Amino acid sequence: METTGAGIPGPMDLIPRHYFFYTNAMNEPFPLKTVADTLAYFGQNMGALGPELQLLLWALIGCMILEVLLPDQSKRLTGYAALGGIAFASFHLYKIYVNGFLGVFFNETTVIDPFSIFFKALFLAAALLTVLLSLRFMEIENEQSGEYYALILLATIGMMVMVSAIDLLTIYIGLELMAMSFYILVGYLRRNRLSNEASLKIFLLGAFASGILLYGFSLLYGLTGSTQLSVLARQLAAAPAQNREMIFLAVVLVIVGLGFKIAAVPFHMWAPDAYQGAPTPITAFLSVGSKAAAFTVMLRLFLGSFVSVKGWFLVLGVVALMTFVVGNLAALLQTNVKRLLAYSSISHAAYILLGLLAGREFGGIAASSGYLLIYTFMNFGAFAVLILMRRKGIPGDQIADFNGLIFRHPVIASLMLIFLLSLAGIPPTAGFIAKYMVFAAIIKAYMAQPSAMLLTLAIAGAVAAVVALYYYFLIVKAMFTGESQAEDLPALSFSPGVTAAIVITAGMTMWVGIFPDTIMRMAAYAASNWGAW
Amino acid sequence: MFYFLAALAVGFSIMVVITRIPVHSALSLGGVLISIAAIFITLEAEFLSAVQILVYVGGIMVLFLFVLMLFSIEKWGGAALHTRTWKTAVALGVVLAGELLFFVWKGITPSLPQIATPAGLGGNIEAMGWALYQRYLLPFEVASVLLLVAIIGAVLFTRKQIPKDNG
Repeated sequence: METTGAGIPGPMDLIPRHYFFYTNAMNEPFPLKTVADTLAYFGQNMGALGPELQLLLWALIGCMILEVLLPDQSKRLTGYAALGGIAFASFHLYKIYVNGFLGVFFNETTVIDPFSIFFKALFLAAALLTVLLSLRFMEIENEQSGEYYALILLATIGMMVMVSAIDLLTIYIGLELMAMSFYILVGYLRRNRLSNEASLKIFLLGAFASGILLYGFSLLYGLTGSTQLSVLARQLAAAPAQNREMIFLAVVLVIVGLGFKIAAVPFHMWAPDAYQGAPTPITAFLSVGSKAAAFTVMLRLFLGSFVSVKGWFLVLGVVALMTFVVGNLAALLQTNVKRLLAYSSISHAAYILLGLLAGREFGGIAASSGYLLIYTFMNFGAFAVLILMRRKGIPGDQIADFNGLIFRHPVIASLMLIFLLSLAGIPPTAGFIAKYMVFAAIIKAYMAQPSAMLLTLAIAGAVAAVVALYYYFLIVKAMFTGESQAEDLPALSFSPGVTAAIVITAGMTMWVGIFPDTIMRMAAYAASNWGAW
Repeated sequence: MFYFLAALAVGFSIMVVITRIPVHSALSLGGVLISIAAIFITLEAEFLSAVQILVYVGGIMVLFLFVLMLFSIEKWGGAALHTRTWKTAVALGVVLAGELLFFVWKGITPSLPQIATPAGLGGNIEAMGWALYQRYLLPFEVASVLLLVAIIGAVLFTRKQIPKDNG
């Protein structure tokens, strides 16, 4: 796919350009009269979709067709095809970044801006780690097949469409593509009852959430007459007073719909069961990718289109508070590490919400984006260790399974310690930097406009961090002081993929913790030129 | 016209819940959906009405009937189907009706923007086509990928042979 052309701005030139084939008002047919016109239109716009198209190509040809051609024992090759797709997509994304190929495409339904480039890179990283972790895991589960990897890539396409979307319809379709892939991936272990249950739960609740979100979107369309986010922002700001209740209702419905996807309390009920039942690499992908994608939409909507709407701040603030309380208290009682990490993921969503609530002027976007990137690495790291513990015949996901790990595998136990410290937010790990950015944003916001809600949120976040320390240390305690109950445990299931994933995640967790300026610059890049389209 | 169709829809929906034979219930539901499709036509939404009939009546209703035929539901004994929870149902219905009446009475009428009707195009079906293939081209294309995912899922979950577990 050609991403360069005449008059493309350099990397430092962040002013978006409109790649239009026509400039008429909406609703009028385009002057695409001839085949040549149509081809030119595609040529101008398709470059923006380079990474997505690569993923689609490799998912369909690389994974699905290879699946049919390959004999059973070499199905693993489809996983390598997925890696190839991710590599090519990353290359395209890199080209887009270097060439500064920014702009609005497909008649203002999609945008390439620094924010979307940042998050597309995050999604590709998450997909890469998921595939690396899956190569061996699915063999142990005896479910190695091409569709699995194809679905991972398709879910990634859905996330990429979501983060680039500046139109309610595109957002919705991207979200459905991601969610549908996850419904299938979560239930992929068909012989496992927990996996079946998880799939059914996430499917039913997810479908309800999508429906509610769609209600919100259709109300917004009815009230403003447009699905475009920029028009939405203008129309909502100019809305007459008697529309206020309806707008508020629409925004609350959107909060409910997206709240499900980020697993915020009280819309979190599906999360622990789905996380526990899903194949472990998918649990990690779900907790990182799906959450990040929904957050990008929330950031675009609430800090872009809904800024003039009164009331959502309070609703989201209460949601964040409840998420802090329930997420952390419920985590205290868990004995299953996957469930514990599920509740931990719920409480991390509250921290990311803090960034959103701090607002754009006080670095909230950069804080949330940076938090999500750091969370990707530390969370995948913890899940990678969990995948090592899964051996033939041993699920290895109870806290008791970690007993005495330090004596048998000192390196793995130390790495797990790093990931847990990072999740708890202890310096000098990356998790501390993440929490620091979020708290800095919320305190700045409080200094500028003191409000009881911001203060309560900041205090709740600080208290939650202390509580979180306790449950993360339940695992640490088991690793360092627990008595191993059996002597003849089989060796951990090492494989090149998992080792690579652990090296990447542990390296990033420590590197970002010690040299935070790179990630801060990346986060600032993500927030730059916000909403200029 | 509206009142006639609305009365028809309400009548059929009452039939759905009070009849004791599941097939009658399903057919009445079809009646409800067709009356609503007719209301759509009076509102000049031909496309919506066509979709309503094709998808709901043509697709979903037929599926319902297939399921009813395959499971021979008469064995359950009709009455047992709707005796246990009717009190709750009536209470909820009264609350909902009260709510609706309250808002109709109070009359919250948001001022809605005039959404431009495309001129010079033959009705809203053609306008729909223009919108789909031009303005909303990208979501339309992504929707095809979405359908592909749904097909993969359906095939995966219904595949008969489940490989043996040796883990």
